[in-house]
Amino acid sequence: LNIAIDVSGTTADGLFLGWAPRPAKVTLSNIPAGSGPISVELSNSGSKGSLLFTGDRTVRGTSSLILTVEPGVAEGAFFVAGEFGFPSAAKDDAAITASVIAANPPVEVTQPLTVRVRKNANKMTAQEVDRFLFALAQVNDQGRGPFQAIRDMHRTSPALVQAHTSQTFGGAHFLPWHRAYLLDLERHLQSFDKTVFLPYWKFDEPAPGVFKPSFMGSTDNSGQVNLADTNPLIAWRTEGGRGIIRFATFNERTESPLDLQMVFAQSDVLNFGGTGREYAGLTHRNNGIERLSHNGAHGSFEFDLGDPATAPRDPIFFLLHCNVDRLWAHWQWLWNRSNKTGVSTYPLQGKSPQPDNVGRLTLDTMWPWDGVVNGQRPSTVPRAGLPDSPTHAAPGPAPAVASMIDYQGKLDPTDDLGFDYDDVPFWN
Amino acid sequence: MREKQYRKKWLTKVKEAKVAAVESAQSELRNADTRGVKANATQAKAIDKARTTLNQTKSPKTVAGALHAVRMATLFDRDQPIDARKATLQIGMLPIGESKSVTLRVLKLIGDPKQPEELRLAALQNFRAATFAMRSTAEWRPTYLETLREIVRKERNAVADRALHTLAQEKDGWALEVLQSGLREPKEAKVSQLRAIQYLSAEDHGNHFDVLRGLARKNRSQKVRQEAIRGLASDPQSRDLLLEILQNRRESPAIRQAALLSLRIIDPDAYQQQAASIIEDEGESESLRAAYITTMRLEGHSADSSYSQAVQKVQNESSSKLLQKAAKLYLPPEAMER
Repeated sequence: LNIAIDVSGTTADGLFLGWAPRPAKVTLSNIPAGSGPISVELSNSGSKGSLLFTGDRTVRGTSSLILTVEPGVAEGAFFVAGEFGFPSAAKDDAAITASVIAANPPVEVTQPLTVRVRKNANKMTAQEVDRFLFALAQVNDQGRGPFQAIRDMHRTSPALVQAHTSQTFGGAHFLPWHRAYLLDLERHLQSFDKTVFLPYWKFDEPAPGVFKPSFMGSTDNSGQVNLADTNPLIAWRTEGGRGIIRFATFNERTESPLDLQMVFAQSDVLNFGGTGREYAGLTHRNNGIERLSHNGAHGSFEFDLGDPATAPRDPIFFLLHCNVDRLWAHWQWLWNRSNKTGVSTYPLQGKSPQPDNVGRLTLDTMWPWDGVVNGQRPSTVPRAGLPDSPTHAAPGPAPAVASMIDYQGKLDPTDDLGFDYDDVPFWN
Repeated sequence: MREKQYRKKWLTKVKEAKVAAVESAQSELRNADTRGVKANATQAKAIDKARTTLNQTKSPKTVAGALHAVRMATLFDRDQPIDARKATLQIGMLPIGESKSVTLRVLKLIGDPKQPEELRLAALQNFRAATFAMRSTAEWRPTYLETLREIVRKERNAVADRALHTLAQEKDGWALEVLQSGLREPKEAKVSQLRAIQYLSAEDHGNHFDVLRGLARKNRSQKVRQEAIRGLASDPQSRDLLLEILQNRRESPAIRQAALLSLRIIDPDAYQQQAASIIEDEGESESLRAAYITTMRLEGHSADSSYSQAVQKVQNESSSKLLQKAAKLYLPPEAMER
């Protein structure tokens, strides 16, 4: 009797999953003739990352599960997910063990895997930080690599400012556009190193672990960023070969933008949307997340981060935006806002008339990934096509606004974008 | 923590945050010194009404008008403590950028040299944050830019420095010219050389490479030299100068590292030619050797390349913790798994 485990999304580089359950199966072979139903126990056998198993992806899993495999079928299906609160710290430090109950001799197999989620940058291990920085420096490639297009997607040259910001800022689409933008970068990072995730800078808490020479660098009022000689970001360059210029107006060791009242605390942001918990309130132009969290986080710095055209020159920019996205994800989870056809989840339903395709309605595809430059759009596209993933089909090369909403595939597993946040669960 | 407990924890937190927001608004209304609005009977009446309404409605939004009046009164009342005035500029307190009248009044405050410098700086910072990526700026943008230019023309202080930086980020032609002139004629400079180089880098370095080369060669400030050397990374004509600085052991490691990184962009071959010899040279600066190893790591050399062998030698022979760390990162045991 032999046993094998097959988890959907396994690649030559290994298997990576988050909190969202992934379909899997155990397969038995060489089953002795005349055998009755065979019981197989799934158990969590990793050293650090922890897993849950369930037969129904809408029901929270458990750390062990018994499957009954009919000899005629020889397969038992299940779902596996990372256990919330117990992500991996290194590649393959989580594992599934499947063993045939009461088999003599023992029949079992172990499948190592990695519970990869986006983590709080302030709490990352030195190894996680180094892998991230190394991948980021490779994407940057002195300003010439894939980073160039990523930077240009966000820059607002005076000629394009009106059209560009209409695609990216100032309304309901601000959150889904930036979710796709971050996914674009993260997939580039993962093309260099599958273990890498995009971390977030939780800007309503001090983050001394982020603003230090071995990570994003420390600053003084000179504007120059102090980076360790072993930090790959010493080679970070953007236009004209310039490096990072930054000055934080808060004390990087002991304060955050919240101390300057430049941003709202997470618990306040989660209250956005009024009693109806409406997305329209979350993204209200005067009292929403864009203005009260995002803008103030940018405005807590002098130099590059203070202006949308120059902000991507500073790599902390991506960690800042990742936190804005995390706040949306947390809001979605807390108030059950995953239904992409619900107006409370996203009010601008439908498709805008062609050729405008402003990229705001749920069925609109988004600039620049769809390559469309007509109507109200900028006249150029830095790069079309969102990078694909070896493990997740969504959202495709030309993502629509709606494809960014149910990012965990809670209601439709095919919408799973393949990322999670360490503090935003899948199950309720 | 299980998801259900976690949810309960956050529901409690957001409930507490809501109560705190109401209490904060109550406190703001109760404690506000409204002398500044007493001349406006309608506003004063609204504030008095709001003070009682808020207790009943439990939603600060219902008294938004009164809160707005209180904040505007506080911000523009010179008799109020500076901290109270600055507090009204915190994010989300006033509709800066949204309301034309509020926006123009705040701009007037920023441009008023009689107002406290600390308040003007806070107002400019918060103005920029509030209007980040704002689209509908036609109503106030010309006034905004002209206010900043006027500050730069007439003042020499932190507000003028910040105003010039803001204009440079806005790619204001006049401001860029002022910065370039200042670099060429230091006596006329509005800001320090370091700041001028940094502010100009919002744009490509364009036509002032000659000035940067001069600053890179000689300047009392190491930071100015570093910034100038970084600025030369897009000037192929500076290749020889950068190589000279890199090879000059009398220069500080920080200056040489800046030259190394700019040379890597302008002339990758010249950069690589120096690599193995500097990495292996025990008489060289540890800092520079470590930086070289770090950047060579990004080049992705095969294990049997001369560079990799040089790093291997460092790992085997050096007692320096810094070099050991750089070499370990260059040659990670799991490198082949990536």
